[in-house]
Amino acid sequence: MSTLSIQNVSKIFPGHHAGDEPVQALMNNSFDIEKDEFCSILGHSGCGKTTMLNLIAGFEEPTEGQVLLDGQPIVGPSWERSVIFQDYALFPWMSVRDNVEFGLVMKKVPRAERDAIVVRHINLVGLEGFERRLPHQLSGGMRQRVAVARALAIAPRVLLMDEPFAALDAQNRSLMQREMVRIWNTERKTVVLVTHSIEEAIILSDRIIVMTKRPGRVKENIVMNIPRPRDEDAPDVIALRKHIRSLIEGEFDTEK
Amino acid sequence: MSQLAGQQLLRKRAIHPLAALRRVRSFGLLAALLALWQYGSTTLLPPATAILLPPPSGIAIGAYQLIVSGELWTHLRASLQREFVAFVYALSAIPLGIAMGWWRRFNEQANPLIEILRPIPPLAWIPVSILWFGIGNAQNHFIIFLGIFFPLLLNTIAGVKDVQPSLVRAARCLGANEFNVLTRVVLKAALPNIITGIRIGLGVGWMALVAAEIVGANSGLGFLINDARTLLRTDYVMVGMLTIGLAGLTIDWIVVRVSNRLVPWSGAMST
Repeated sequence: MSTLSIQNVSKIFPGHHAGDEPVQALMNNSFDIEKDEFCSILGHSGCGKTTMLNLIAGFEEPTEGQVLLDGQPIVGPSWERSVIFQDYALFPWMSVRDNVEFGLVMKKVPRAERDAIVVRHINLVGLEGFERRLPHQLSGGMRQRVAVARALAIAPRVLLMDEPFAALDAQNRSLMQREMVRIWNTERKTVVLVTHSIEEAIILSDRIIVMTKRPGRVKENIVMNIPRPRDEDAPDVIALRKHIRSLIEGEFDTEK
Repeated sequence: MSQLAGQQLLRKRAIHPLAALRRVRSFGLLAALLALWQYGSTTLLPPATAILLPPPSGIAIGAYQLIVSGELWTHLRASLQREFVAFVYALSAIPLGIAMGWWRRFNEQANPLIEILRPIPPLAWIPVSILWFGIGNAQNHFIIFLGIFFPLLLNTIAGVKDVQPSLVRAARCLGANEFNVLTRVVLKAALPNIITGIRIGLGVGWMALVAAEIVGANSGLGFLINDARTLLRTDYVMVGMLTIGLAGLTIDWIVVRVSNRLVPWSGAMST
């Protein structure tokens, strides 16, 4: 059964100022994401992939079409669809612990239960001993871990990630990608990852949605059959990477 | 180990006297001017004129007299109390500023009103405030309130508009309702700006206070210096002026110390 269903979704932004041309960010997109699937939305910057994520998160509404979660149209943001932001968006005045606990307080989870959930998720992302730190006292990779713990603690049905590893250096990025696989194996859920990195999409995903440049459309919906962990140098991985690159670069050429 | 410590001690000793000397040297001009002033007031000026410019020693004696009699303390306390009461009233600028920064419709209505009132200096309100409130605390509070209120309001609005949109989105997708977004995220995120507003406001308020007390009070530092003027006690006037300056400096120092405690993340958090 499919959990997340994107149906004929278009999004047009009005110009910022009067007289500006409206911008068509997404045009007539349809795809389904299965339950507990790890799905990447892949494309160049400006292809509307973040807009797609914002529609699923409920931060924005589609101009046409609809986004359904288990058959129900999405109305506004909700803890059922928690987001990991590119800039982490941790609350800078809250300790690591309070950041992770925030959603649980909002959800009115009883204190004793809350404590157990917070401890479990801080351990899950490997931040034991840093509970009292403030975000600015942590490295980029550690902040990202806090963001992951915070988003998972409220037990969302869908986890949305907006280029979560883009701000990290290469070493931390591949470490966090492996961590993400480990965490996802511990806490299976539907994940939507927005990325411009072909390698990242291949390492992590069950499904890759390759998008065209503006107006964003689904160019190809790839279901991954290569077993994990995926070796970057395995022939089928190399072939797939070539294929996706040609999809994206072909796209780039037609732009020019 | 002990050798190393000894070396460090040596180095410290070697630098220390130089630094101390530099410290002392920076007061050179000040000391020279004070000496000149002392000399001029006591020997150059005729006694009748010297009353208008008492020497530093005379001011020190005046300060001693005012402190011993308890007068200085009474007036200082009266002024600080007024500043504090007006500050408490002016805190209303924070919820108003949050509302104006958050709800565009509300801002649309409130902004023209604020923009008309804001450029009127607090001092320009003194005549009408005396008509409304008479001479006394209420009039003083009103003038000081105006001094604190507008800087605090403008900084709060700016703080709310500057809140990182992703923080608000993060709160929403973690299940926060509008009230929680405002109280737990927007207010906190705007706090560094709000504290800047408090700092500026208390400074402007302190200036307004002195003016308000000169014309409309029977106590306070502003009253003290004006009252001393009518008695031709220039030494008391100057003691009062110095006290006003030092108290203003102290208030600012306290706000900075408190704010460093209150918003330790401010400035350090760039991403």
